[in-house]
Amino acid sequence: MKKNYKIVINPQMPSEEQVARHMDFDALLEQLDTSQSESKKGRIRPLYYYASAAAAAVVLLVVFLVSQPENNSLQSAQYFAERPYVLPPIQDIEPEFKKYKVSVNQGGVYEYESGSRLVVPAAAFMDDRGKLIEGEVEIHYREMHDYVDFFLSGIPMVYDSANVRYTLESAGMIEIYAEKNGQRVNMAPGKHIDVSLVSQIDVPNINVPPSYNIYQLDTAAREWVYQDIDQLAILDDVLPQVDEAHPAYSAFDTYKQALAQLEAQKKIENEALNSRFPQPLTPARPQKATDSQPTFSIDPDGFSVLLDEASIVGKERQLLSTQIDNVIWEVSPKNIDFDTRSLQVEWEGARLKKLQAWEYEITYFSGDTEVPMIINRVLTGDLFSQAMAQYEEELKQYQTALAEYEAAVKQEKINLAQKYQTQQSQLKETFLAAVAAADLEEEDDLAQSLSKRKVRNQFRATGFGIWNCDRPVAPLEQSVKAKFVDQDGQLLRDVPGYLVDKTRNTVVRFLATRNTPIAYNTLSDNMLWLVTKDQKIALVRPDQFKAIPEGASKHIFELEVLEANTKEEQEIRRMLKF
Amino acid sequence: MLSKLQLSRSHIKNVGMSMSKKSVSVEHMQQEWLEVQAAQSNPARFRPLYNRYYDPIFRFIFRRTNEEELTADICSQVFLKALQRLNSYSFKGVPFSAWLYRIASNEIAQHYRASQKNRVVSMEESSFSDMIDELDERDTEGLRQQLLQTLDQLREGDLQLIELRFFEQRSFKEVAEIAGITENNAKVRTYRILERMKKKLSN
Repeated sequence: MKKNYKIVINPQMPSEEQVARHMDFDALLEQLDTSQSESKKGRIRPLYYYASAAAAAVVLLVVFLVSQPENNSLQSAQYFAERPYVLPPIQDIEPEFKKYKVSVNQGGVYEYESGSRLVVPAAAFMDDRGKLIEGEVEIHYREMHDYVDFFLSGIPMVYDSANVRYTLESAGMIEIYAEKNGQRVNMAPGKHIDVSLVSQIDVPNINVPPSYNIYQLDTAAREWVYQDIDQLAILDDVLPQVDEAHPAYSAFDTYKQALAQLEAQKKIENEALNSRFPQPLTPARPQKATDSQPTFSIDPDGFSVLLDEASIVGKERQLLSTQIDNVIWEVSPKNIDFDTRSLQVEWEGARLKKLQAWEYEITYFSGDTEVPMIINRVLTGDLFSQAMAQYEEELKQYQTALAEYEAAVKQEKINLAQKYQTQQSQLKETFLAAVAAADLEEEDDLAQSLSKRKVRNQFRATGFGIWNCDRPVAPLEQSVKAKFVDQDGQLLRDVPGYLVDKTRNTVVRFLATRNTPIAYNTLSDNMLWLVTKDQKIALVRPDQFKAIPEGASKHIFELEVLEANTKEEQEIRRMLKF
Repeated sequence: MLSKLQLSRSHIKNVGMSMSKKSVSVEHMQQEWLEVQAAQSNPARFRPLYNRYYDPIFRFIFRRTNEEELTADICSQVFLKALQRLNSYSFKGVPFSAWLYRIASNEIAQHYRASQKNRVVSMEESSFSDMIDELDERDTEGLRQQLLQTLDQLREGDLQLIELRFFEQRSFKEVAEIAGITENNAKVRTYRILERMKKKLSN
């Protein structure tokens, strides 16, 4: 009779060791990688079968397009889709990153030249296999603040939402990644880097602070992904740079000096207020001797103890001068490589300096030899209990005094701040009135630059990549179908173009064709440039925008192809200044 | 009686699972779901699940192949398929292991379809006693031979339930999770199979 199964009685099951010998998770991951890349290849193959049909469709499409006006949105979408999503336009300019060495076990706080700060936690990095990285990693960090930065970075500033294409206006953007031995590493799950990004943005009304969001760029999905609300804090006004050749320089200089005088006066008044109402001192909590650190006392017999005059004063000075032998000192754990034998040495004397409540620095000396050490003044047994009782009493008195102080001073400080804010506003208005009276063309620019303020954007970067503090701006309605020619009347097309509006901190990227829709701000200065195939900048200055007749639907922009070197950022900044 | 107890202990050791490992608490399942979600976003985080289930899945396959290298190959396929399909996995109140056992069952079936060999069914001596007790029959050598013939005539799905319940000593809850049916259905179907086997034995 035919058997259906092979029944094995009492099979010899493999041991745990035998089973474990076959385990290999890393090999499994490699198999997964291979299978995924093969499945991608597999998906390409069917395309071949449709190639002939697709080719026919393309022919039909070409015939259709030739008979139609040029469709810029189709061409533009295709042009950018065929290229990396982040597409730096000038090949010779490499982005500059600041590098920070981070000890993975400790993490750390890192300052950037702009005043920005990164707080990196411990154990925050892992490799592609999910294994925590140890030792040291190098964080690479850069900031992008203005339209030139955005242009050079090649990062698209567009955000699609509900079929509407918004432009992202930025309050500051960062790019951050980390490497170990030249290999990129990932952020460990649940970890994040706290970013405090300092930038300068336009805040026309300080009472209505602008609101921005946080987006992370997903280069695979080719889109910005909303992450959070930007915790934005206004720090200071920022005075613009006005050079001596500027027609309003004299008025600006007067304004600047008046502001400086006002600031000095404000400082004096603040100090006077503080001395009129001295802030009560917080009582220091007595320290109890721990069991873990060595303690010792100082025998002043035949041993001179020099007390620091500035830090040891009043009752404490009296106590330490007369009864130092009754005081117990404990070696602070802050001392690195402390050697207990240093307490056994016959020293000539020591200098004692107070560092903070209960913490001192003692420097033993003998001849030319000096040994400094950080020590804490500690108490034991009943002495500690008595000191604690006294401390509790002092704490109550302090809290009462602090409440009185705050009641007296708080309103005074508010009044002082308001007084100076009013005076600053008056100075600014006086300055702008002087510029207006001189009937200068630059009046609007100055008014705008005076509303620049330093801000701090705070957010959590939960992964590496590009993070942007920004807000979507709806597309402008005023639009012309544009064509671009150079000084010789030669058509410029099929190259990337960039459009900026002076009132918005962003850059709009487009493809120059025969029929490019250009939406610009009629109430502001606009500037536009193309990057030619030989990496030159062809520029349209604001005047040309102003010359477009109202209601015009088409326009031919005549671009000035600049011959200047595009290999340096400073040179590009100079070219694109407006 | 003493002899049977010793055999049972030996059987549990052979199967490689203690009873406590077989019952999975709700908290454990939810904790495991978090691990699966982490692995869905990053395959490297599948490692703890792999380490936890490699051994039981290996033994599950070995009982159906009785060849170490073949078992290792199928086991590797099981975990590869699990990783490839991980994004389609969602928590439905059953342990993650049940999903792995189902993938393993499919891989084993696929192997035997392709090789056109008879599938291996492993059982211990003690399983005979358990089944004969359950069938309410007297344990004789002749009955054992008859029982083997009856088992050989079972359909694959029916034999799988008998294997899980009697040869691998799994609870009905676990049998149901692996077979993808309700616990009640697992009980009803198992006892119906036993009834049919009993009829055949008595003929």
